[in-house]
Order: sequence, then structure tokens, then C-alpha cells
Amino acid sequence: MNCAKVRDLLPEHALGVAGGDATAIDRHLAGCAACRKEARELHGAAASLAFALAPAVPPAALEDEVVAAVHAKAGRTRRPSGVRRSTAAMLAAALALVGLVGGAAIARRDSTDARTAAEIRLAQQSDAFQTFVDEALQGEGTVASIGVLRPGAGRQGGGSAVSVVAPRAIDSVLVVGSGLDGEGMPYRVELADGQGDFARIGTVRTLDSGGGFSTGGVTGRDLTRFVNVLVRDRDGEVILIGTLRDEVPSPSPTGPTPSG
Amino acid sequence: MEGLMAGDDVAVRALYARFGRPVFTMGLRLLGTREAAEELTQDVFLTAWRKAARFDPQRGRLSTWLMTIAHNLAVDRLRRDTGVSRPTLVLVDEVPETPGVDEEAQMIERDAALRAIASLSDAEKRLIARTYFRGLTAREIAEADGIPLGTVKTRLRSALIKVRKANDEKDLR
Repeated sequence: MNCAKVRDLLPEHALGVAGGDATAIDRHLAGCAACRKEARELHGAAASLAFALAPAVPPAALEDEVVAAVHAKAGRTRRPSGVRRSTAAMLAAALALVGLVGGAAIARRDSTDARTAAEIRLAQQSDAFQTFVDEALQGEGTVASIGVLRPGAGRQGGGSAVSVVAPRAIDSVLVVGSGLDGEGMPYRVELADGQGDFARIGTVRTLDSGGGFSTGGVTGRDLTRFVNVLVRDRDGEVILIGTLRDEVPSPSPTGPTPSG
Repeated sequence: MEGLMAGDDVAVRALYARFGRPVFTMGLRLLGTREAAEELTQDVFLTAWRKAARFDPQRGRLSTWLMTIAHNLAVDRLRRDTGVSRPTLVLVDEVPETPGVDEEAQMIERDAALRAIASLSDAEKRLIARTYFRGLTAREIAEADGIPLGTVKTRLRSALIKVRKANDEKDLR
């Protein structure tokens, strides 16, 4: 998005109604001082309007609830070294689960070539996860969440996802899958907040010989609320689904068992 | 901000003392129920904690940063809850529920905001109400009113510039 387009949209952005253009505008503003100056003025004007509303008095207990909520969240992520250690454990667990899911999918295939390709894919995924999280966890207050993706009804395959919500960096997410059959491509990868809002992560147009893919990167959006990961086919049917959690995921008693 | 990032109780209470009421007010006036306003208030302060390191005082005021977070979350919810009856907008026609409790800074902010809105034409006031307070997009307004999108955009920009100028004059007083 260029300066002219951004400036055309800045009033709506300041008023909070730029909709799907907000992410592109934020991205432009991050690198354009001239547009940022105009945005700052318009945002300042818009934000001041909030004070025109007739004041209402919050319940007295709300302050304690807010403090407790922040305190609880901060207590879990206050120590950077602790965050790194726990995330390393989460990462190891997630990779093990990717291995289980991928392995189960691989075992379904007869082709030796496919097995080899899928194994390579898993190694690449492991490496991508490791690099992604290592780079993302440089900042204090960073929260990483990991989820295991399981196949939708009548589907096969599996995968994992990692999101990083970072105060000092743009939030990012990485989604990998394997063992997919390619039916219904292109696949749409998205995050959902469970309340009707979605964040588009990427589109999968090709699979490797093991039915694998990886997609993601920086999003420009605050991913705090987005905990559900969905991979859909071109008709919107769910191929893979999972939930991001900031704790070590655990396999089901029988382990992930792709169907289909 | 460092105190907020660490989840320090004193820092969170200080921020709440300054902005708890305007954030709750925005939730109640835009979303219509005290329950929704309480949820919004919690979400706003949690988001502020998560994003505290991104706040740069060189780039804008704390009130702009926090109220933008509050407004974006409120509008997100407002637009998501389509079909839900929206509350009657209350700017100046209602006596505050508990008069006399406002802190001086908030009274000054409110007085400035009302003066800024008073500087707008009636058409501009309606536009601001429909966008900022109702969450309607410029395109939705253009289609509803049967006027060109460019006209709506121009009027929105003009209205915000007037508000900014009114704020500048307040700061000079």
C-alpha cells in the first residue's frame, strides 16, 4: 500500500473503521515517518472524542478484577529466562507431537519415496520451528503458544502451530501440516478468536510429496485473542483444526490418529 | 510503563485510576450493557499490559494510545454483534450517573472533547457519531445515504482536522 492510499484511509483508520485495511496501514506506518505524523494527529483527534461520552461509574470491584487479571498474566511470563525455558519444553513437546502426527500419516503410505520425503519434511518443520521460536523469544514479555492440529471429520493428516505474541515485535505465527491428500486445494489457513473474528495466515496451493506444507510469518495483528487454528479447503470445510495454548500440549491417550 | 509490563499492582492501579472510568464509559455507551463494559475494561487493560513495551511517548500521548486500544476493541465487538440493538448514544444529554466523582483531569478532557465536537457542523457531528461511536465504515455510510464515498471520506478528514485544531487551542490556553 502506497502513501496516497494510506493517507486516503487514515481518517477511517483513526476512527477505528478501516476494517481489513488496518493491517496494511499499520505495516506502512511502521516504515513511513511522514504518514505516521499525519496518523498521529488524526488518531489523537479521534481518541479525544471518547472523553465526550457521558461518564459512567464502573463497579467498585472492577479495579481489583483488572489488577488480578493483569497480575495473573504477568506472573506467568515475568521472567524472560523462565519463559525461554518453558517454551523450549513446549517446543520439544510440540515437535514430538508433530512427529507422532506425521509418523502416523507417513505409516499410511506405501511409497518408500513418500516416506523419505515426509521424513525430510518433518526435519524441515523441526528446524523451522526451532528457528522461529528462537528468533521470536528475544524480547521480554513474549508469550509463545503451541497447538496440535488434528484432522477434521472424514479428513486425514495432522500438524502443529506456534504463535508468538510479543510486546516488542509484530506478532507472528507458523503453521505446519503433513499427511494431507490435496483434495479441495487451495487450503486456507486462518486463526479465529472463537467470537467470529478471523485472521488470515496464508494459502496453501501446493503440497510436498508427503502431503506437507508450512505457512505463516508476521501478521501485523494483535494475536492475543486468536487461539483457534483452522485449515480449510476451497469450500470452507475444515481440514485441520487445533487450539493454541501457552502450556505444553499433551497427546490423547491413544496419540493423534489421523483418519480418512 | 515498566511497572505495567511487570504486572506491578501499583502501576496497574495508577493506570486504572486514570483511565478505568473512560474505558468503562466507552464500553457502556458503545456496547450498551454493564456486563459488556466490564469485559471490555478487562480486555483493554490486559491488552495494554501485553503491548506496554510498544508504547512510545515520543509518538503519542498515553491517553491516545489507551483509548485507541479501547475503541478498537469496542468497535470490533460492536461490528461483530450485528443484529444486537445498539444503545442510544449519550454525549451531553444525560446527567452523569454519579456526579462529582470525576477527577479534575477527566473533567478537563471531557470539557475539551465537548468543545471540539461543538466546533463541528451538524453533518460532521452525525458522521463522527456513525463512525467513531457506531462503528460504521465510510462505505456503509456512503451507500446508506446515497452519496459518493469520496465525499464521506473528505468530510471525515475535515471533521477530524477540526477536532485536532480545537484540541490544539485547548492546549495553548
